[in-house]
Amino acid sequence: MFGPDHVSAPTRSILHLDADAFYASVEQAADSRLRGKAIAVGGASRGVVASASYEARARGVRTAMPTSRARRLCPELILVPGDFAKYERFSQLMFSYAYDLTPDVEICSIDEGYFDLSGQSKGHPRDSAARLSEAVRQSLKITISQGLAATKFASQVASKLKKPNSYLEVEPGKEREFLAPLPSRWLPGIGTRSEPLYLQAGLARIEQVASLELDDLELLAGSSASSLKLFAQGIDPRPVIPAPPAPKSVGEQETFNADTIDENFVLAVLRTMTDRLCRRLREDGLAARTVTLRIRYNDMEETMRSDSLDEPSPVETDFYPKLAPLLKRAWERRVSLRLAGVRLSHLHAALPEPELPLEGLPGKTLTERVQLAEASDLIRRRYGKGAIVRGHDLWLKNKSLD
Amino acid sequence: MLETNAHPLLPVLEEIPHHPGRTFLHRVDSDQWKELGLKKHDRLLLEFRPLKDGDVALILHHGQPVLTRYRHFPQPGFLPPSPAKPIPQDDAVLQGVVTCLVRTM
Repeated sequence: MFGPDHVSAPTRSILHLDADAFYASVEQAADSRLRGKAIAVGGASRGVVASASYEARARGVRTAMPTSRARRLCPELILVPGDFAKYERFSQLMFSYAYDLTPDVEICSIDEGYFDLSGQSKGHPRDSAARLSEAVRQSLKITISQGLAATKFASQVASKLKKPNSYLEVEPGKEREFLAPLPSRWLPGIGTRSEPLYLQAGLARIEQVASLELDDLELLAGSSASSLKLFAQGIDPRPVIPAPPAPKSVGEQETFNADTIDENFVLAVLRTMTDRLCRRLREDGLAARTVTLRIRYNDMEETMRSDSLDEPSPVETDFYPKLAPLLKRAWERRVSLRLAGVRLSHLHAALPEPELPLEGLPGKTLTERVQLAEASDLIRRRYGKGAIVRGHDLWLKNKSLD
Repeated sequence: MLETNAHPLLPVLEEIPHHPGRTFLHRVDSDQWKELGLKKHDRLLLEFRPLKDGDVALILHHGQPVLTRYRHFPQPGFLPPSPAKPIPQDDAVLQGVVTCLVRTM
């Protein structure tokens, strides 16, 4: 990824913003009756908590916990279904304040971003951080936590260390010292699954990872060992990239071999495109909320129709029920079609997996559907695209043979 | 639900990098404000800025969007259409000041 020659410039001032319990805080801001109460967002289709207020966290409720368990821990818990359009709006307004400070804003997700304040001529970056925090608190009635450091990684850790409503500054050149005593799970790539391996290897703290020989670290971390070691040493020259790296939407379209009036055929093609788009989303750890269908008639006129899910999903079967009504609404002329396309937008980072198997929930939750879809992806990668197919793929294959 | 005849430039416009700003369109999705002269599918151009006395403001109150007039005196608060009671500023969260009505005829 990067070598030891690229020692981070001590003059950089990178601010990392992390909104506190974002979804739950937005719900409390939008409805004053929920303020000060134990609330959690989620449960509608996943059966897990997507975000919990700090009042709920004090009772043991955590993100990714099955809602049944959360209710047992906190019987007065108020469960609120997610309103992702509202969260997107709050996110937009929150980040709009960052552009008052610098054009170098890298939005990583709906509630996290980096700002490069290195070129600031007026005042100390900590004053800018204070202004930003106050503006967001006053206008949006939510709190944020911020970390200031010379590197992205150190600033990110600093913002998360003392949440909520916190500000932590790492002195330039002291990044390694700051990170050293922290548990190694703070390092990128070490999660709940891999952490036990590091603990067994005696690498409980970041300082132990930083001082381990690279050859030995490779036994655990494989090809990412060198970047992991550099992160542990506080070296991270990654720049703040203002353009959002993630796409705003993913889409596909297909021009038919011959113009068609066969609704079943068009629907099967739309489903197959949705399958491929959802596979792309899952590969990138994303989920989409809105599906847009586009058709082009044989006279080149086009029509689009969109609809949205209540919660973002990376699973094609969640979008299937939207496709037929959208096609019916879009195909309003008695004219054959030349092209059809699907676009998935309002992309979000996929919601966290539950920490425990789900208990006694009727039907398949989103998490179970995601697990099923990921298992299908794995089979396709290992044994080829035709190893596992859906009914509409077979139908299309048979139709093409007719 | 978005319903439109697609403009040929739309795929291009979708690729233009988007920077979150403080001005945006709010789509009226129901007839909830027909007494105020607003129709379903009207759009309101909103600006997210500090409030001035007399601004028409879209707020979220008890989780619902409410169109109000902001009054700074005697206490900062929002006046919804009568007969609803005034809403203290701390009980609501501002979504934007209405600067323009966009109506497709």
